[in-house]
Parts: sequence; structure tokens; C-alpha cells
Amino acid sequence: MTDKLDNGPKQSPQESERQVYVARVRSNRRISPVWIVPIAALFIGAWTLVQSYISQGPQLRVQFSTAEGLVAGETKVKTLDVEIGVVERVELADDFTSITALIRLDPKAAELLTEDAQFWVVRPQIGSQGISGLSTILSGSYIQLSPGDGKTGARSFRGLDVVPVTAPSTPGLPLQLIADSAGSVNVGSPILYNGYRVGRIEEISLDTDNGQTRYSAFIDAPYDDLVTTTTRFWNASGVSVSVDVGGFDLRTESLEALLTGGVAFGVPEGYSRGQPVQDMQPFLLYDDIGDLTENPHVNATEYVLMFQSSIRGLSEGAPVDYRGLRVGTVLSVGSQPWESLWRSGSADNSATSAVANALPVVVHLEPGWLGDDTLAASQGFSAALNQAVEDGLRASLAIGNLLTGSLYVSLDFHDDATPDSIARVDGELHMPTVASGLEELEEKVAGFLSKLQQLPIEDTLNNASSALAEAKGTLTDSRSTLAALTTILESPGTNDLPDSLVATLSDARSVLQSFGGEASLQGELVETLRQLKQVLSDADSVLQTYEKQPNAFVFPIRQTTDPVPEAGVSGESQ
Amino acid sequence: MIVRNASYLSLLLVLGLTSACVTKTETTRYYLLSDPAQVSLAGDRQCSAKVGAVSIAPYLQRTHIVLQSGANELIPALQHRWSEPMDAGVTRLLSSCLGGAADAPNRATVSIDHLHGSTDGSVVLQAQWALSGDTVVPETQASGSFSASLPQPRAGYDALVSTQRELVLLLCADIQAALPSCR
Repeated sequence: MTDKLDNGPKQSPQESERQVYVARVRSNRRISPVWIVPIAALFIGAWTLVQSYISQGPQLRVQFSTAEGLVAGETKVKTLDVEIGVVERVELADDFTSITALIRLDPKAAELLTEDAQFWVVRPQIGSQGISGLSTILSGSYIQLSPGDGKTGARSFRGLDVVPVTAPSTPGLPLQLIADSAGSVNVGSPILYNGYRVGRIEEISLDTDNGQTRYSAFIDAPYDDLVTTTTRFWNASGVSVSVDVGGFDLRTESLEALLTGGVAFGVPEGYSRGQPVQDMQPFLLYDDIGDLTENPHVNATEYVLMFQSSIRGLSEGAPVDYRGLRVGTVLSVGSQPWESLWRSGSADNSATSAVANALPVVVHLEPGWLGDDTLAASQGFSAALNQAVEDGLRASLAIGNLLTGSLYVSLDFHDDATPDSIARVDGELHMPTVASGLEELEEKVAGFLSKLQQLPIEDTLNNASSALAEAKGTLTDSRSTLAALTTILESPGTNDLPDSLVATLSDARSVLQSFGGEASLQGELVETLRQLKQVLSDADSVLQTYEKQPNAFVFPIRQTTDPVPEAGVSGESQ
Repeated sequence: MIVRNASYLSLLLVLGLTSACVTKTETTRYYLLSDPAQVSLAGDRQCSAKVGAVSIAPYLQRTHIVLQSGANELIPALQHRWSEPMDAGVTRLLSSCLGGAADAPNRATVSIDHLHGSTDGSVVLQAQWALSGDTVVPETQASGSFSASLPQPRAGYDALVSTQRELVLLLCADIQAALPSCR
């Protein structure tokens, strides 16, 4: 036995120790060599286990709403299209409302498990954003891992039900857009700046408190610098068509916005560029560019106007003017609890009942209309307005359009206004109002109608009817007369009348020619006139004779001897 | 008795009327201004002129021959009268003097302001005349006034009429002197 040990091959130190140990077995503490095998196996197994444990990656739990497309042992986990893990097991959650996928990642991918890492299942999808995940039709769905920037070490995640539009690590500016209605803007809708896509809508949610729609938007870098405090967003979806005297005006931001909806932004004309904004800065999303043009201002002070007269014709969005200069917008008209609507019915005639009888109109006074849309301007504007109200500034309703009957709110000074000031009632600022000229106009119209009613219109109409009947009779007679005249004119005798006239004129010409200078008749007339003149001269002498001697007809005329001219003295003078 | 008185009255009436008839009356004499023996002074046709309108003063528009008896007194003679209106007599006398035929190139218009005699034998004629026609040159004397006075050579109306005719002929000569072709 010893020889075998001595002549044997060279032994390792362990064997030598074993031999020493064996030697001690020989001293009755010897263990059978049979145990070498299990012990070695035990070591190997332990080593394998340790190596296996050390070499395997981290295991994590990701909760999804459904296990559609997830298969234990087959579904891969990828990032940047590189396999970094596999789904080991899929199990229901304890509350049975979701599932939990147990995922084993490669050890090298452990660094990707940050607190804000995102997981979602990539499946074939067809939607407004296009077709995606076609490759998974054959290869099967997989889980996409998008690492974040947070601390590493997280092992439990909530998987996304929808594919995120923007990767978490994408540089840019996240924003919030608030709109009164969802409109046609969807997740993934582009955000355009001058028609160029610079961002997208990532998420849509409904604010149940005030019924507004909130959009999570993202502006890619470096375009995020375009968004400032004076930036305004508006819905650029669809086509905007306007018709005016110049014709049709059709506008759309882009074909993509036309099909899928979109949001555009910019700085209104006349505004400065503004200051940079922080992440998740909320912005108002206007319905369209027209809505923005009408009311681009942000800083405003709300006032309540209580009107005693009818507010029919006053609508939301109507302007608030100060002597034709717009300073605000009507926010709401007559909104009040119905219980307070009839309070004046049982009230007395006191001033309190008059106030209770009034209908509230909420307006926004916006200094931005005057070119300064800042918070400081709004505060200064309110202070100045307080003083102006104390000096007699009052709100009243005025007619904006006589055809449509639309009204607007007019601010102006009234010298006869009772002293008053802006009061705060239940947290609202109430501005005093005065009756507009509408009531006076109504009274004038009523008075006019009353006078019109008192006019003897019926008698006048009866007289007019009689006159018309007489006129009709006269016309009938005239028609008969004309018919008779027509008959006369159309008679053969009338037709021959011109020929007769011609003949008569010819005869008249002949007669006149007999009176001409060469005719004897004229000479005879001249001679006759001469003789007549002579006779008159003789008669004059006779009359003179009988004037001097009235009895000359009976008695002889007393003749007086004419003086005889003497012979003249010689001598001619010329 | 009454019948006898009526017979006397009738007889007296007849005697009165008869005595009236036998009263001697003065004979009225008529005179002609123009002279049938008057010869035209116009030498040729170009020197003649047609007499146009002849107007006379209203106091001459009567058949009585007017005689001035004082500074401002005129006496129309009852027994000495014109045989025709004076304008006709003047026209005829001027026509025979100027020899104007109906187709004469010139025409004379005459206005007689005064044409009468006086008890002291002085006869006066004042007239205005004007010429018009083809040969009348406006720059030359186309109009003028005539005033002349002649003593009648003897007493009586016949000498007065002769003197008035002589004055009218002097007027005719004055008018002819204004005709260019007669110079």
C-alpha cells in the first residue's frame, strides 16, 4: 500500500494532504473516498449557482392593464431595438384589474432601470398617427424600454397603455394647453410655427372641475425658445373659410393639420417677444385664429354689471367700448341662479328691489386692447377705473347693429350720474350702470305709435278710396274720349284735312299777295287814308267854325279877313 | 186875332232867312306848293335820290297856311289853304327836284320843323335831312340841318307860297350837295 503510494505518478498537493489525511484515517479518523464525488458535486453545484446568480440580470415587475401579446419566456424586452431582457412570467395582479410581467434583463441593462423609465408594449397599430409595429406581426409583440434620467435601482414600474409620442429623454419644452373644448386636436397632432412642425400633442385629459380640456404638449428643441410669455396658441385644425366683400378666404396651416388636427402658435401683432417660460407652463388654447384676433389678451379684470333693462341682443364676446375704443369683452350674460330671477316680483319699489331685478353681465376689462397686456398694466388700469367711476364713469348698453339688434357695453362719463363707486359683492367687483338711450328710444317709439294710432287713418283711407273710385271713373271717361278722338282722327275726312289746309294756305297766300307793295289794293288803301285824313282836317275846320259860332248852321258865318303878309325886306338869311 | 199875329211872325222868319242867304261870303283860295314846271336839278342817275319819309311839324299838318303874326303867335289863314297836305306837297317838290326814281341808289329823309311866313313878309324854313344809299359814304356828310329865311318879294299869299317853294328848293340843293356823285 505504501509502495503504491511511493511509485505512483506525481501527486498534487491535495492528494498529498489527502494522503496525510488518509494517514490519519488510518488512525481511525479516515473518511471514505467515496464522499469525494458528492462533495465535489456539491461544490460544483454551488459554484454554478453562484455563477448563475451573479451572471443573471436584474428582475423587475412591470404592471400593464392587459397581457395582450405578452408570452412568458418569449416576449422580449428591447431598447433601441436591442434585446435586453425577456418576460419570464405573466401573472394577474392581486386585485385582478391588471397583470404583472416579471422581466429579466441583462445585467448590463440594469443601469437603464431609472425611476422614470417607461415600458410599453409594441403591437401592430393603425391609427391617426399612421401604421406602426408592423414588424411585430411576424416576430410577435415586445416590450419597449425607454430609460429616463432619474436614479437607477427601480425594479417596479407601471407600463404605459399607449405608445408615448415623445421619448422621455427628448430635449424640448413640455407645456400645458387649456381649451374650453377638445375640438379636433388629438394625441400626436402637430404643433406648428408658421406652418413648420416644431412639436406635438402628447396627451389629452379632461379637467372635471371646470370642464376644460387640458393638452400636454411638447415643443422640440431648439424650437422651444420660440415659446415665450406672450405666445398664444390656437387650434389650427381643419379649414377656416371666411366670406366677405372681398370674396372667399380659405386658410389651413398644413395638410397634416387639416387631416389630423393641429395647434399653431405665435406672438400676436403688436406684442413684444416676451420672456422664456418654464416647463409645463399653462397656455390658453384659442378656438381659432379669429378667436385669437378678437381677444388675444390674457391679463384682465372681471367686473359685474347689473342692468335693469333687457339685455336681449347682448351676447358673449361682445365688445366693451369707451367712446368707441375697445377696452374689454363681455364674458357672460345674465347667468344667475333661477331662484334669484324673480326676486323682484314680491319686492317693493325700493332701490334694493331694483338691484335685485337687475340682470348681471360679466365683463373682462383688458388693458391689452390699449397696447399693454401685462399684469402691472391690468392692476394700474383697475386703479384708474376706480377713480373714473367715482368721477362719473358708468356702464350702459348701446346698440351695435340696428339690423341685428346686437348690443355692446359702453363706458362713458355721465354728468348726471349719482355718486357711486366700484363695490365688491361676494368677491365680485360690481361696476355701477346707468340706463342707456334705449329706454328713451322705446318711449319715443311708443309715443309715435300712439299718435299714429290716433290718426284717422280709416277715414283717410275711405276718402282715398272714394277719390280713387272717382279717378277711376274719370279715367274711364278719358278712355272713352280718347277712343272717340281716335275714331275721329282715323276717319277719312281727318286724313284729308292736311290737303285741305295746304289748299287753304295757298289761297291765303294769294290773298296776302294782293295786299303787297306792288298791288293796287295797297295804293287804294293809302289814298283812302289820305282822303280820310283830309276829311278829318276839313271837319276840324268845320268844328272850329261851329265852336266859335254855334249858330253858323242857320246864320251866316261871320267871316274874318285873314291878315295879308306884306312884302318882305330884302336880305336872305340861312 | 191870334191867326193874324202868327202870319206876321212867319213872314218875319222868311225875311230873316232870305237876308241871310243873300249875305256875301269871302272866297277860299287854295295853293299848291309844288310847281308843275319844276325841272329836276339832278344831272344824272347817280346824282339823284329818292325821297323817303317826309315828316312835318304838327302845326303844319293842316290845310291852313300858317302865318306868324308875332313873336309867339301863329294865325292859320281861313281863306288861304293848301290844296293838299303839306307833307305831300314837300314830297312832290323834293322828288321833282332830286329826280329820284323808284330805283334810285340813294334815299333822302326829311323832317320839316318850320315852314311858314309872317305878316312882315319874312318866310322861314328849318328842316333836318338824312341820306342813305349805296353811294353815300358814312364818313362824309350824310345828314344835316337846313335853316333859311327869305323875304317874300311882294305882299299876298301867292308870293308867300312862291317863297316857301323857293326855300324848299334851297333845301333840295343842300341835300344834293351832300350826294358824292353830285359834287
